[in-house]
Amino acid sequence: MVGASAVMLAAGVVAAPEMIGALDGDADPTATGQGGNTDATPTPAGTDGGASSDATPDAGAGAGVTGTFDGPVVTNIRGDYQVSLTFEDGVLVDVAFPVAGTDAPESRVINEQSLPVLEEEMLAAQDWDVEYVSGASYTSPAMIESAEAAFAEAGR
Amino acid sequence: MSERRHFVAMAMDVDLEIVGDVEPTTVDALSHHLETDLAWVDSVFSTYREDSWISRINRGEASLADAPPALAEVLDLCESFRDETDGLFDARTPDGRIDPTGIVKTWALERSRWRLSLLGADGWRLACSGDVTVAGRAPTEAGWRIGLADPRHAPGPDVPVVGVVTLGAGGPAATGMHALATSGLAHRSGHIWDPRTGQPAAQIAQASVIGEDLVRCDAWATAVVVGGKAAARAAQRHGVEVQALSIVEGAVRASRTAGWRSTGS
Repeated sequence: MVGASAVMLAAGVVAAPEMIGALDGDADPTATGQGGNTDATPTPAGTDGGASSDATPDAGAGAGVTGTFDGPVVTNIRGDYQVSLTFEDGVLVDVAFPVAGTDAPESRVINEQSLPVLEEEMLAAQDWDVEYVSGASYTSPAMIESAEAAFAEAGR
Repeated sequence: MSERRHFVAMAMDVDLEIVGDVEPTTVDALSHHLETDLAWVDSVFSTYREDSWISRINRGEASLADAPPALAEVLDLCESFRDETDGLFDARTPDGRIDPTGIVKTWALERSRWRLSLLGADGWRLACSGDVTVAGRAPTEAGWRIGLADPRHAPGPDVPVVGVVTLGAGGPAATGMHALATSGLAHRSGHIWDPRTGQPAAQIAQASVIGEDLVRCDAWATAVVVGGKAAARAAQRHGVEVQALSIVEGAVRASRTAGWRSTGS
C-alpha cells in the first residue's frame, strides 16, 4: 500500500502544485534515525512529475533513512497544506497531512484518504460467552501463493 | 429455540444455527441442500481436485466458455477485488494459473442466503472457519456474539478468545454489520516476504473484517494480512471495518479502524 500512499501524495501535489517545490529539497528531518543516515534527503513521488510508485528512496546497502519529515506549510487557492512523510529504513510507511486544506471537495478527498488513524489496544485471552469463534482455520498453499503474488504486485 | 447443524464442505467445518419456530426436519433438509450446494462448488472450484473445472482450465483442457457460468462470475469478482484492494488480493498465481480459492468459500456462503431466507426463521447464522454471516434474531438478547481467536494459538475448536464482536442488530454491543471474515497467517509467518524490506511479512498475524458483504470482508481480510495497517486504513473507504492483530513480544496488539466495535480486555 506504499504505492497507494504515494498516489495520495501525488493527488495532493496535483491539488497543491506548489508542494512539488516544497517537497524537493526543503524537507526538514525532525526525527532521529535509528540507523544513521538521517542526512539523506528522501525524494518522494511527485518530484519528477508525478511518478506514483517509486516513493522508496534508494536504500543503498540496506541502511535507508528512518524518520519523519515535515514539509513546510504551503498555501494555495484551496487552503493550507503540509505533508509529513515517515520512512522506515528507506521505505515510505506513512503519509500524513498535519495541515490539510479547506473543505473544498478536493481537500476533503485528501483528508478522507490520509487522515484516518488506527486505534491501538493490547488484548488478553479471557472467558467470553459467544455463539461462535472466528479465527484462521489454516493457511492453504493457495493463499500463500496468492499473497506472494500480491506482494510482488504491491511492491512493484 | 435454536437448532444447530454441522457438516463438512470443502474440507472445512460448516456450522449452521437457526433461531425460531422451525421444524427440526426442515432444518435437516435445508442443511442437506447447503451441503449439496457446497459440494458442487468444490467440484467446480477446488484446485486440489484434478477433475475440477478450475484445474482443467489451468491445464488448458477446458475453456471458461465451457464451464458453468458461476466460474466466470467468481473470476469477475476476483478481478473487482484485486482492483479494490490495489492488488493486495490477487487470484493469479506467480506461475500464471488462476486460483480463486481466496474468495470461493465466502462467495458460496453468500450464495446460500436465499435458501436460508426462505426458511421462515427469526434468525440464522452460517459459518465456516473464520467466515460468518448472520441475519435476524440471535439465540439470546445479547445478539450474535462472535469470538475472535487468539492468533498465538494453533487454530481449532478450543482456541482461546481475545475479543468479541457482535454482528447484526441485537444486543448492546451490536455493530449492525452482518458479515465477518477472518484471515491469518499465524503459524505460517515467515513464509511470506515483503519485497519492500526483505523481511518476513509477519506484521499482521490475523485480520478480521466486518461489513455487509461477506465476500468483500474476505478479500479485505486477506489484503490486510498482506498489506498491513496501510491496507486496514484503505479498507475503511470501502464500507468495511477492520481489526488487525499483531503479536508484540508475546502479547496481542489490536489495531482497529474507527468504526470497529468489539469487546476486548
